[in-house]
Amino acid sequence: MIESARIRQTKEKCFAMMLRVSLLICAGTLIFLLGSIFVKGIGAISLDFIFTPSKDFGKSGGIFYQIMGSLLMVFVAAALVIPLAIGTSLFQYALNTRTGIGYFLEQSLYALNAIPSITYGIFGLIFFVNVLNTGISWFVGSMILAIMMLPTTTLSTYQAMVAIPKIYHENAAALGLTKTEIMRRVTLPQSFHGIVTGSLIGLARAIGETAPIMFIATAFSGVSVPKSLVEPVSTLPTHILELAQQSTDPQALQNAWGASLILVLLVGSFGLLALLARSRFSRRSPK
Amino acid sequence: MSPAKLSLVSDNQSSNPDVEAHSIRLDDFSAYYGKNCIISDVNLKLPNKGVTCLIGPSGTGKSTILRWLNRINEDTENASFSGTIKVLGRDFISGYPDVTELRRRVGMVFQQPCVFPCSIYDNMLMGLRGRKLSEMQARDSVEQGLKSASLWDEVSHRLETRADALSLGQQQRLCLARALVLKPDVLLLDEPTASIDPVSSRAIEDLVMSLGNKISVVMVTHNIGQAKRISDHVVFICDGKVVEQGPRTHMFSSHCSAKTKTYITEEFCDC
Repeated sequence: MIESARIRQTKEKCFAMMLRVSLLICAGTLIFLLGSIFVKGIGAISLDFIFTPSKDFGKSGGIFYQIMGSLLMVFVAAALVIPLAIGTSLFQYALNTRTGIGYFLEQSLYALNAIPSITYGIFGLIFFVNVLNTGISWFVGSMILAIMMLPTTTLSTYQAMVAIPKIYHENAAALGLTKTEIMRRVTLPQSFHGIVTGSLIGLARAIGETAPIMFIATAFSGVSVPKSLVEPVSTLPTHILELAQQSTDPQALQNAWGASLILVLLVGSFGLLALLARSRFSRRSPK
Repeated sequence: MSPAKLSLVSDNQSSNPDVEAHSIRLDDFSAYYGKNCIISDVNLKLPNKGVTCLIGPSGTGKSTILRWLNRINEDTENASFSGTIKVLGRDFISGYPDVTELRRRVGMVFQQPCVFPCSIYDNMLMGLRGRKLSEMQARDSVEQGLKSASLWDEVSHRLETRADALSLGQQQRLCLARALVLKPDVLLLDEPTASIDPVSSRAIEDLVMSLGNKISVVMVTHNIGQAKRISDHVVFICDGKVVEQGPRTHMFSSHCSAKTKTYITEEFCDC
């Protein structure tokens, strides 16, 4: 039976209303969360807060070493993970997911992405600190963050690769390019946006993580910029955790909101860069 | 640039003793996608020079034949074949252990213009990268290739601009130029004018005709008028089989078979 125009219009309106409500819930939650952090944290922000070291377990002073520690760990993690992610994506792409190993690799990446971050921390503690006896080391923390970033970066790169129209590969092959040359000259340049986006999203996730690095890479106080690979650092998430534990002190709480705002701004700036990279470098399809 | 330098005839063709009278020869060739037989028991001999047009309804295997001639179909999932193809006197599999050699000698241009997202200059050099050319040689090759595709005058002042900024017709001619710069012995064209405007289409037709005097051009087309204008030899394929083949004068005359006549005049096939 053909639906009457009135019923169709009512269904359309209901569907549009559901979309608006969903949007309102998502955007409202985000705005409320970010707004709260901004309103409560902006009072603590000053040049002194950003550029001076913390004192008295964070109750006074700034968060300079925490910012430096966080950036150091995530940038080294990115340097470790990007070549690995590109290699893994190329391997998976060359294998083709329909084959057994390729399928297993893809499912492994999805599974790795779903592992709770504390598990990475415990693995790092047992394997690096206890078995390999590295001690508390920011570099070990970077390695664990790199493992955490690997699925995000790899899957983003791989998705960018499989999205390249087949016609590019056929044209390159018809010009006598070998498979390696096609990967180097066609696949990689055209999936560059995926590599950049995946890396920045991975960075954004990693910089906000506390659990995986809490036991193996960070100290809550008394640290500065590390002079070797096996020294601890202080990071923004662990500093916020430490300040939150002293939340009965209004000054500590104020600093916790300020540090949270800086962390959100850092995560947001990575997200923004990822968006810019996507629009700047994304492939233009053949007309 | 001297006329000799502008020559499009491959260096291989004059010096290579294995070149037979036929550039391509298919014997009992069948092609499959999975279990589906797309073309069966095709026997074809394509001349060393001239334009051969493959005509026939959609889905009858014309492009499949073309895609096997330079083994592009090798990378297509579930694609397989039986029978033999000889390309320039050598078996297309065992005679070309390095498939890139085959693809350099048998160039291909596809239906949809596809330029790489880099400059016109870099597009032209895409197939020449491994040859370690000097800057001067590279410039000469680019100029020669673009002139051969009648594109030089239009783009010589902007070689560094992105190739995807060109019009579709220019992009397709760039694809042709990119293939010609490798000096192929055989050029495969899979409906190269299907997605471009009539003016650009005519420019490509002129180019194909001039190429036909020097190398073997095999072109798939659905445009009967186009086949009539540019072909030296026509192969009519329907339902995975070669219905009839012969010189243009025969195929477009009243002496051709009834099936061919029906297709050519009514663009309808009752095979």
